[in-house]
Amino acid sequence: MPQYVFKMKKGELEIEFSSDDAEFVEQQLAKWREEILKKHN
Amino acid sequence: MFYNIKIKADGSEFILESSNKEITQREMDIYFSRIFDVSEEFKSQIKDVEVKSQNVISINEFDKHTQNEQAPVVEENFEIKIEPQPVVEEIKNEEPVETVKKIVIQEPIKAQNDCVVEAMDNELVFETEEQNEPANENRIEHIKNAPLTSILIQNEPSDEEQDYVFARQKLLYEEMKKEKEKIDIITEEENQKRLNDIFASDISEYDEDIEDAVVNVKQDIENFANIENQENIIPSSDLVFANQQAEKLACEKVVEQDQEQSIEQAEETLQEQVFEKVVEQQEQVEPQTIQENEQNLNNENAPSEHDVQIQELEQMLESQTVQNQTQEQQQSVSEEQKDYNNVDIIDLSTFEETNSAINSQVVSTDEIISIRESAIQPQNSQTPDFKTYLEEFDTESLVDDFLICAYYIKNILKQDGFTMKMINSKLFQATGKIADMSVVQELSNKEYISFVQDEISNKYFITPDGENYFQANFE
Repeated sequence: MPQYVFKMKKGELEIEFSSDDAEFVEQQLAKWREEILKKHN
Repeated sequence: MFYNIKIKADGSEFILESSNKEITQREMDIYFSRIFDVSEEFKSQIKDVEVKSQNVISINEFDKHTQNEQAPVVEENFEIKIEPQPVVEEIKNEEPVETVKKIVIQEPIKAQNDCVVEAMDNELVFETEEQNEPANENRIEHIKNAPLTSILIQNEPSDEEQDYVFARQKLLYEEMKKEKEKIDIITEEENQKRLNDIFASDISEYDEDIEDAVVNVKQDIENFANIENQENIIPSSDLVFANQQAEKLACEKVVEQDQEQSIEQAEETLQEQVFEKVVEQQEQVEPQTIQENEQNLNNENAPSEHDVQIQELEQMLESQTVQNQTQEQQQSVSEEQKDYNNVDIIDLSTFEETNSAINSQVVSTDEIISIRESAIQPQNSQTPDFKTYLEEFDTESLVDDFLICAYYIKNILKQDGFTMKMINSKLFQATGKIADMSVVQELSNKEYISFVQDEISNKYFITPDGENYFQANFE
């Protein structure tokens, strides 16, 4: 099965998320990205 | 399905392995919010969001096409660049008390008996793990006598207790003040030891009596209460500084007021000077014009002086010729005079005042202006106005009217040159029309008028050819 790894960094902090649930990864990723971009804007 | 979360921070690593999607989602959301908190403070720090591997291909789509193939590892990174925290540099205050205050506040001190002493901005907070707080009635005695590190203020202190705590605090400050130079030069480690010693020492070591200190502190507190928005207890030396600042501000305010007054006075003086200058200039013009007026008024068969001037004024009101003439003459007057010269046409009452002023030889400024207005009226009451003058001729065009008017100005009014404004005022009064530049151009092409530009205005003159044309066709 494919594996997807998603990393977030903030300074020394790092979150790494890995899963084989592509739909879930995409969903989470889109949600977080949106929030980050929203914060940035 | 598997869901792994790995968190790295401060060199340690935390891994959450789960097969439950909901739990994983919740956990991830928590971590996300913890790391990328939603506060405005964090938001304001985000300088740039760099999205690596922009979502060129949907992971889900990618997955659908790769299910049966060798499992790839798709990696996507977010990296948030955060502006570095502003480094707040501690301003080292030369005031010894401030220095001490800073040092004490920065580092909580672990005292000898495991009592953590933290000095806040405006109070000392003592906490201990030992449950040996004295009964309430003995707390003040305890504060007064016990070594500083054994003071227990776990409950809300009363005002009186607070006074004593402040007194202790002040004594500490005094002690620190004595140690100022040493504090400045010793290392941080040595300073820490010194602080520990001071906090651990007994109050009886100080010369100043605790009761006196309480009185002084109460006085300080009253002073502090008088300062608006004073949140922190500040040492007496700060009060001195505050007073100095207040005095400085007060002085600056006084200086500003003085400057404003000076400006007002200067403006008044300037106005007076301008006024005097205008009066002076008016007076220079006046004697000659009055004389001329008197000569005109003394013509044979002339009615009384008063009647003649009334006649002249009425003529002026009817035709406005005089007004325009006045305006043209006013252009040559200096700037300071402008306001005074822009007086409207004098009415009869003004004239009477003027007349009486002349007779009484007591001349006020307004009257001088009125006199000057009257002085520049047509000097010969027999001079026909332009409307009357034009009626004698049979003209068909505005060009002819214009030329006649130019001739009238030169030969009847005896004036050198005219402006467009001046001639148009006469033309309008007489014909109800205004000449534009096409008229001027036509006459100029025929060389009937010439044009001279000076610093004040553009002036036109009727040429000898123009006069010849006039005489040949209209006389």
